[in-house]
Amino acid sequence: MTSSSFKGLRVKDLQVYYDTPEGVVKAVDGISFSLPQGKRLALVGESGSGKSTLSMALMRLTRAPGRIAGGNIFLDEDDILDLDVEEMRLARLSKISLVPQGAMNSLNPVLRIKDQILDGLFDHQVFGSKKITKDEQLSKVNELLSAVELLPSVADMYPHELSGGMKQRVAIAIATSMDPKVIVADEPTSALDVVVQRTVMQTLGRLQEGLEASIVLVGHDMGLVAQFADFVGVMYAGRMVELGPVNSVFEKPLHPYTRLLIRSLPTLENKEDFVGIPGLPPPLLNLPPGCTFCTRFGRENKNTPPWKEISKDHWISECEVCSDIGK
Amino acid sequence: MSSLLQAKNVTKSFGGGIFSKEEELIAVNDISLNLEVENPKIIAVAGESGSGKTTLARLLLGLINPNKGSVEYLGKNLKDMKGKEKRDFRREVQPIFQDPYGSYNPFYKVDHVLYSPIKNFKLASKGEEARKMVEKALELVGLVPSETLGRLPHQLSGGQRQRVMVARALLLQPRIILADEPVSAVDASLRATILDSVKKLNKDLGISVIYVTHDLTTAYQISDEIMILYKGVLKEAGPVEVVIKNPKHPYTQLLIDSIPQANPKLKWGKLDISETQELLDQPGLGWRDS
Ligand SMILES: Nc1ncnc2c1ncn2[C@@H]1O[C@H](COP(=O)(O)OP(=O)(O)OP(=O)(O)O)[C@@H](O)[C@H]1O
Ligand SMILES: Nc1ncnc2c1ncn2[C@@H]1O[C@H](COP(=O)(O)OP(=O)(O)OP(=O)(O)O)[C@@H](O)[C@H]1O
Ligand SMILES: [Mg+2]
Ligand SMILES: [Mg+2]
Repeated sequence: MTSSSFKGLRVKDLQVYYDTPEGVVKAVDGISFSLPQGKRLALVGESGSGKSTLSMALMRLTRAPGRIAGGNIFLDEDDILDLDVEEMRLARLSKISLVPQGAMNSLNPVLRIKDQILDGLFDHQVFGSKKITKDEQLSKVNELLSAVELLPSVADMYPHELSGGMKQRVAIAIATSMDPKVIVADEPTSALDVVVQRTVMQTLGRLQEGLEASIVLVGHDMGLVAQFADFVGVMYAGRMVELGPVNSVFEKPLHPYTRLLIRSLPTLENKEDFVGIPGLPPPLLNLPPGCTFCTRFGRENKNTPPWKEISKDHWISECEVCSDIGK
Repeated sequence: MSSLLQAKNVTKSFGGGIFSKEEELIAVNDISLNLEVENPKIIAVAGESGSGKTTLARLLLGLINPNKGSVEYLGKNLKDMKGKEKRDFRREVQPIFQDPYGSYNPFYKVDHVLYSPIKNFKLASKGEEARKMVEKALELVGLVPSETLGRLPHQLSGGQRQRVMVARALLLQPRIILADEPVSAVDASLRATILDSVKKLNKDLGISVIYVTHDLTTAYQISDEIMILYKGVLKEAGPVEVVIKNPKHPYTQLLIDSIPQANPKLKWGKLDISETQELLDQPGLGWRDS
């Protein structure tokens, strides 16, 4: 496939930095990936590795002291970094939409749920210039609520009357309200129990397939990722260290961090097997070049490992110095 | 056996007053729970979203009062506590709230949530001592002190914010930690690290823990006992080995069946949720020893 006819989301060498008084935090340090239309990519990785920073940058919602320091974000053919502010505002929700991390806290506490849903739709003039009746508005709200398995009565409630999980589902309803082409979901179900999680992810998946949208799912739950995603990207200290089809990443993880991460997953079989990865990730402040995973084990590789395709669509950042860890 | 913290048949409902148009919602329905002084344990409270876990936690903290039943700390009803008793209770029972954003004042550096309890409860006499305590607590939850202190809450990632709250609870070394989804926003390996330190607090220092979660796998890993709630009702409770390995109530069975396996080849959930739905309202089984 030539790049000019690529349909989907294509991120090239994206850099997002935070300028702090102490120095530059390279929270996203040169990340590239392609996600074909209709496919699902899950981003996993250490807390603080830059997943939310990346999601916000995909929406161009990076706030000072953060800035997009370089790279491209292509939606189909167009680099959204070239859009002007107004064009970008319109693209949000309708082309690319976000379910933010802690979405349940992003709801406005003094607005009824139906008004929060309608807000975005009016803002984008979905109903155009035609006058629509209160009944028509309500039926759109009900349709969106039922898509996320919420009762119509929720429309008249305020956020504080809902449980954490119900709020999260409202946020998903809002994010899918305008048939976007790319849905960025930052831990959309981390507040939900597994039963609801399953139905919500099925719903999200169904909505996404219906829209032929791509999904970038940020998630900590490796189980959910295994069940939902087509591709997995593993992040560590601001960089992607592994990216590949879900089956091969779980079956044959190639990067030592991915291996240890998979090994740390708790099970219902064995109580003793529950151990984290020792050590700390490196500080991202003024991070020197080189392999960021080596340092965790007291090793050193001063050259930033190359990003290599090892087998079809399966990439890693390959470092000879730490490649044996976790084997 | 004397009780440390005990909930006696607590019920909490919302709405449904004489003047209210809304139907009454019973968020917590006749639930009892007992932590003993002599036998510090970890109790997991699990159940679906909206099942009343957070409401139960707030009842146990005395943040809301039950409509029926009572919550007692060392034999004293929380409702009747005053002055020093109340201060002691606040120090000895430390919450970690579900929402890692709501617990912060956005204008204060994160240092504030760590240093203010040290000051309020006079845990350290010297500044140097306080600093050491804070740093140790941060390291216990996998945070680099120099990277964390001095920052405003929004300058930390979601998981980092959540871990600062865990560090705060560890710092205070209370008698009870009441943790509402303390690790929902961190990755698997950190989850293991943090829960492991919670477990150590329990084993080494005898701190009792109430672990509110919907994650049955971690509940199984760290808890001694588990309570399964559904729509405010206790469906099943007992030692984790009994309840998780041999679930009897259809709701518990559905919960366990719905755990997504970290293996893309295994199907997620074999039970059909719509078919199981009616079974879920079956009465609770109460405490099971085997
Ligand atoms: N406003 C800011 N100023 C300075 N540093 C920041 C700011 N916001 C985030 N960071 C840092 O950038 C890094 C990446 O943060 P980000 O929120 O993207 O992580 P994450 O991968 O989403 O983590 P989590 O899984 O915990 O949500 C972290 O080290 C964080 O401390
Ligand atoms: N202040 C309140 N006013 C009215 N209803 C409330 C209030 N607080 C909670 N509820 C209702 O009580 C029920 C239980 O809510 P609770 O927050 O305890 O659930 P939860 O088990 O913690 O859920 P989650 O896993 O989503 O956090 C829900 O139906 C919720 O809507
Ligand atoms: Mg995040
Ligand atoms: Mg809750």
